[in-house]
Amino acid sequence: MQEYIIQPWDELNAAGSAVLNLEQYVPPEVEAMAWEVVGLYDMKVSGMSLITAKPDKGGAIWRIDTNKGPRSLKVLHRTPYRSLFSVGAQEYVVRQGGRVPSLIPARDGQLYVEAGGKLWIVTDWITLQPASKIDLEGAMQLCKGLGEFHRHTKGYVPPELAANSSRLYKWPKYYEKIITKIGWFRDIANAYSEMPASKQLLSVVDMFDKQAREALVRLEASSYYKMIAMGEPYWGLVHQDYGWSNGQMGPGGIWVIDLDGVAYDLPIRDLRKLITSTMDDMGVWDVTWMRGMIEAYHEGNPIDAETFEVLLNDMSLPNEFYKHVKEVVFEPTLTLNSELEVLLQRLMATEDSKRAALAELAADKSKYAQGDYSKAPENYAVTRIPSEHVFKGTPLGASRGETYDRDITPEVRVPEFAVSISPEIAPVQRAQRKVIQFNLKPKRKKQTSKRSGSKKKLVKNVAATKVVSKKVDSQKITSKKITSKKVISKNAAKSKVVEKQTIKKTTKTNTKKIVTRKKQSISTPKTSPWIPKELSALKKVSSVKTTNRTKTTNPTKKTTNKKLA
Amino acid sequence: MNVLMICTEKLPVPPIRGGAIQTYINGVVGLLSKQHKITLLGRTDVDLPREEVVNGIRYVRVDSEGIFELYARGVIEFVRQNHYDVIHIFNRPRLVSLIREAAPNARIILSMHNDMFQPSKISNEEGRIAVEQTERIITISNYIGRTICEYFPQAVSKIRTIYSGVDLDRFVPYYQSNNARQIREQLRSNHNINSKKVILFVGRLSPKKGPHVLIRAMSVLRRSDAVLVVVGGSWYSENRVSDYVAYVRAIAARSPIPVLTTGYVPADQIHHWYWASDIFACTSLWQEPLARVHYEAMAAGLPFITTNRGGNSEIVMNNNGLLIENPEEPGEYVQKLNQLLSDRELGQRMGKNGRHVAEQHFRWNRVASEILAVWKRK
Repeated sequence: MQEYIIQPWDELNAAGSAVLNLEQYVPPEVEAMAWEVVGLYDMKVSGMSLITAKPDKGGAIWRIDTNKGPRSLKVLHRTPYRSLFSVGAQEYVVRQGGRVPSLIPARDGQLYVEAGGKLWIVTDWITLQPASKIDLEGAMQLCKGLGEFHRHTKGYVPPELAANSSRLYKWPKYYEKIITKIGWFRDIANAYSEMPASKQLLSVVDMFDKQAREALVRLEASSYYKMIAMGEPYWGLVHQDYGWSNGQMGPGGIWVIDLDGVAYDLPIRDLRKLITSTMDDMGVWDVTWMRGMIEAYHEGNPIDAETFEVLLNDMSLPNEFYKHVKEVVFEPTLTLNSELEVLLQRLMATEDSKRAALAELAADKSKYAQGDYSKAPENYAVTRIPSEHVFKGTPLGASRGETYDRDITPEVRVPEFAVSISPEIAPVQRAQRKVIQFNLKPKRKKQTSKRSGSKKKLVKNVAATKVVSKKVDSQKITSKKITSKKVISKNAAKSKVVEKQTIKKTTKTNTKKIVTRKKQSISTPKTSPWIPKELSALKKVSSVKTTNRTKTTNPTKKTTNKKLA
Repeated sequence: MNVLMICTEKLPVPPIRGGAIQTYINGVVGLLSKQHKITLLGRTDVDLPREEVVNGIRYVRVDSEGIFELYARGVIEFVRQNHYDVIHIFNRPRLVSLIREAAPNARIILSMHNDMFQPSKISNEEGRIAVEQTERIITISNYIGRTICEYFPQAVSKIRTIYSGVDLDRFVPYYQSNNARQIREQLRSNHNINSKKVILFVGRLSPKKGPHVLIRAMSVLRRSDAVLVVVGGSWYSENRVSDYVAYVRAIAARSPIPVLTTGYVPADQIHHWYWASDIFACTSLWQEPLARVHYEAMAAGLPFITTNRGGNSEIVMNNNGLLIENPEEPGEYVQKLNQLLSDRELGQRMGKNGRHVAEQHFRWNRVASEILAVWKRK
């Protein structure tokens, strides 16, 4: 039987039911699934009320009233591999002492449930109040809370199969993209020159173009590269959607919620966005506010002079212009309207105050200590706090990092390689990709799907993992007990059992529950090359018994075309 | 010999979902299997069996979900359990060290189709091992070979360029086949472009592919007899179209020269559009290794304009096409398109030259024999 796969439901409006506020609606199948999911937790749920939904993505959050107090239930709209990253992050921050709602484990000990092709989580419900939006004090509270949050994310390493989420190395690319797109705005204004806002847009676009280019030059010359050489866990995570709704006052201070979008980055990016959008909203760039916000942040997460410089430069990008104008590419005949014209005029009016504010703030750099970037790790050691709860594959070795995607233009014209090349060609200095390490243990035994429900034995003390880099080897924790976990891969026809090694402190056996799936409706996309569906193993929510470790769905007897489970 | 060819985790072989690497493999594997026992390892697909033998070639498919690490596990497991004289890896240098451990005595050959040796894609250590443990690194262009040597100068003696090929029967000048001629007429009249000079772009709509520059050129090109056809990538999906596609769509809408989009065209029908067209344009802005559309255009007898990026210029020869030095701006496109549009004979000559070049150099048997030579240690 095919399980329902959660898809975005924003198309429903197109069906003519314009009355529906889709953000206050989930399809009945999702509602039903929610009830099944909460059944997997050790709690009695007396009521469930939808707080909000993301119909365009397929996400939702409910408040649930339980015999253990109010809790929240959330279905994460991203693919399970990507959600793993943020779920791991949330757990990490909680353990580090951050004010973030705790994840409640399900009866099987997992911190999430997989259903409908998504991950679901249950967390504590914290009663929160927004910080004041109209005075600097509120803004400062928010910034301090942000800093505290960032500080608690430092050192995070995601679970092994989690898709890595990182912007850390992409700053130059991002700045280049802004520059490129400003060029698009110019092209569009030219092509649609008769529209009300086009003339105004054309008169200001060159200035903003120049600002963006100058910001990129400054970025390239700044400490950015030596900063990112410290690696992703060093910097920790940004929230990406922080503001007055996701940072709110609660017991003890600001609590941070909605960690779905966390990613590795220089933390000050969150701060920059908060400051510039506040200034944009205010219509004037107020140095007192900006200084206050930065200093409050510094209280929560101390910054150094290099970081301050990158922050200031990031503010100098024409972010506001970009944010307000970027929609013109969609329906220029509608978006290049007189409203935009007015907006651009307003933007121009605040430009002077922005320039002046940034100039004045630049002097503040001396207030911050120089950072120490001398010990950039090549394969950075991982400080990991093993989870007591089951977590899908605590990672071994270095995290999967990406290095930045720098546009490498060859500095030396290499002749045809039939001729030998002088070995003195020095490659351009770049941060190196971190070694990815994964375990390729030979399987102990094959298991077929027919043995559904059988318990997999845990094999203790398996041989050391093969690693790619010897360096990382020496940092491996060899003294801990190693238990292997079995993961049932996707294909149910011949379910391959791939052993994974994890390091656990307890002997409690926790297995991954990846249940293989049979059929899944896969529509061949017509407009692009094949894109793999998020075929994470899915659990038939209704059929799972909590005592079973692993369960497979109906074994298939199909001999012809195999489906990707 | 027993040879294992390993495709990537992204798309399956045979190329039922497209893919340049997959097409390359598919083009040669039949010929290679006549001399050796071939096993072709690729990713699973819902429409393909996990294992099959077709024309003497054994296909084995391993789950990947598009994820390298997952795929690698299955690959290594397979390699451990099966013996091969030669293991030929496609475009995944990170597999080399893992395969070397699993098969200490196999000869490892690596085919590189793009810049997977760059630091953001592979660590210094893995890259060094990859170069060390492979017998040969085959590339699809000199450009790729050069870039590998920049990162790993020690690779220089192992590198060999083996250009790709094209199906010369499918991609054939329309005037060489009645069927092709008919389809040309039909497509052109369906879209009301019978009397026009059709400029063809085939490729995804992404900034690095650069079709926006070509479309901008249409605003400057003063020709009433031209039309631009963009094949690949729909810009008519109502929701969730990317900002780039929206941008392209917006400027195309205002282009004095009509810009037609065909929407999605399945891989087995793309050649129809080559038949229907008169000029081919590749507008890549990035350092493209060497786009196979060039071979297709040549084989179909179309004069082409391409950019001097990556390896693209390597197949401009014998007056088969024109090269753009500054593809970020529309100027050169206007100039060169004017050239071709006003001198019909020039285009025809170039097209014929292209066909000759394709026949002489870019047949699949040439590719296969070069690969066989590498396997023979020549």
